[in-house]
Amino acid sequence: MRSEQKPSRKNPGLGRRRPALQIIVLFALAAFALAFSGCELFPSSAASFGGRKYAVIVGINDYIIYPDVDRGDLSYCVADAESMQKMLEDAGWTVTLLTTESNDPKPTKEGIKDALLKNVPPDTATFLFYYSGHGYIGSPEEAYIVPSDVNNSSSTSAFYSSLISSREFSVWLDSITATNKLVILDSCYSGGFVDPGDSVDSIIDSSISTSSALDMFFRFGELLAQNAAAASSDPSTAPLVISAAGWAEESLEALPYGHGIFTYYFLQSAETNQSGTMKGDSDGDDVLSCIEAYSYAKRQLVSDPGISENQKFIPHISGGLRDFALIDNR
Amino acid sequence: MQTRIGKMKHTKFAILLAFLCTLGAGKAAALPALDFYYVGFANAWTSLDTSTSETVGHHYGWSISADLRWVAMRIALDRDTLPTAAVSVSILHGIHGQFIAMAASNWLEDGSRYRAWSALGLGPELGIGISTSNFILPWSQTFFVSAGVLGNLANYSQTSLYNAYISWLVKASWALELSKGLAISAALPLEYAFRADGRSIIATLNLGVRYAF
Repeated sequence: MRSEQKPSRKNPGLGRRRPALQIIVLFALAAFALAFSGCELFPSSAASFGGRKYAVIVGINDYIIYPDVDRGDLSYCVADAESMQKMLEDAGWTVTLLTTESNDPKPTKEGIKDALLKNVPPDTATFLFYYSGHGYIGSPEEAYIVPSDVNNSSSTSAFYSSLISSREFSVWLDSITATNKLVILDSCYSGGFVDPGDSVDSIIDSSISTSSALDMFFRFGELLAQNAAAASSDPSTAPLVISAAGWAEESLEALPYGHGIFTYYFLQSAETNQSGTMKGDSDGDDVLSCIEAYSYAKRQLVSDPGISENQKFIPHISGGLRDFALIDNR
Repeated sequence: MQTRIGKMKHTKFAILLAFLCTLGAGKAAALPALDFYYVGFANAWTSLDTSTSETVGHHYGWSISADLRWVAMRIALDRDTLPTAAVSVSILHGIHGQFIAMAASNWLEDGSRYRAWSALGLGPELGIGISTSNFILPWSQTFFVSAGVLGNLANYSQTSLYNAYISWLVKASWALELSKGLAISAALPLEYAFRADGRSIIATLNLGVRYAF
């Protein structure tokens, strides 16, 4: 008994050091294991998508108000619409195309209205509206889509009533029963259609510069109020809206691209790179989401040296908790 | 009538003042401790207010956080005086700060998912802890439960959209003092975030160090 007790008397700290070392080692191992595990203790299941995906795509090159001249016409909006149609149809979407070069239906105000109110299948789960053409702005709160039959007469009321306002469009969109609604607009001043919802956009109005996170910190009260206001809205009906430009900016098309510049990069996000993944698929899950495509197009557009400083424009996206799948390559 | 109202106000004010004095005395008497959690492993579950359980999305992510706490009150639970007490109970108050970054959720059956976001949160916390020097291990340990409310400044990842939300935080933590003032610590915070048209529950496992000044 004595001989067994002696070591502990001579080295009273020995018994403590060993567990201490073990605990520190175990603690460090646990920390590193967690850090390198990719933080996925509970692996998520990725559901396969159900329900019909339906899109209405509008592209307007030729405005009827100028039947014999090119004045006011655009060059690549039909190409935008057709490329978008191909991208979506390849991904399993059903597409209705309205362009000034197709026979029927035409992208007039009535044609677009009918496409939204009468032709969307009732079992549609995900609905997408894409528009490439002219835009117009009355005030920051009221932007317009310019249909092909815009009335450019001297009467102001006739002119405005021939446009599709953001409010009018919102009412049409509300009548669609799809759970997920996406709106992509490549037109001037299209940022007027984007509702930041629960958020505040740090991109400064009528500018491509952004407020810093510190600036947003000092607007904490305003952000909280925005959060509270959004809490009273119905989240299931809010569409996700992506615009090519801000409400005070013009969206450009150019020859080298053969498209509207925003649409050019938006389409590029779905192209596969050398590793076989989509260029815009930033999380590598083989699903291209709206935010991923938007983010890719915005990044490319902002860094495009081909756009001069005074022509720069920046895409916007609406707020809300949800994001939607555009292309599922799984 | 006015006098009575005045007395009521004085009574409430006196209670509040006494409470603040207790906290203040604690601050003056007790030195602060800083918990810094450098490894934070986070999981979150988000749902819309109108959704069913089928539309709950799961996020994973990471966090770093720090707590700065003062002892407001400490009571010995054994016969020893406080500095040498083997077991003592403390009421602590302090400030909790954290940064979390959560990935987008898993894809749901309807082709949607919940956005990725990051948030910087800061707020007061209040808790109770028990310190012991002879429980299983031969070192001083502190078990601590706290609750707090955080104001969070958040950004939807890959966008320029910022928002803010309030969240409630409940946290259980444990610290093992290895040398005087220095301890390793682990914490399990559970956060309930009121996010505009939805809710998120964020569960985190934090590992870090604690230093008592």
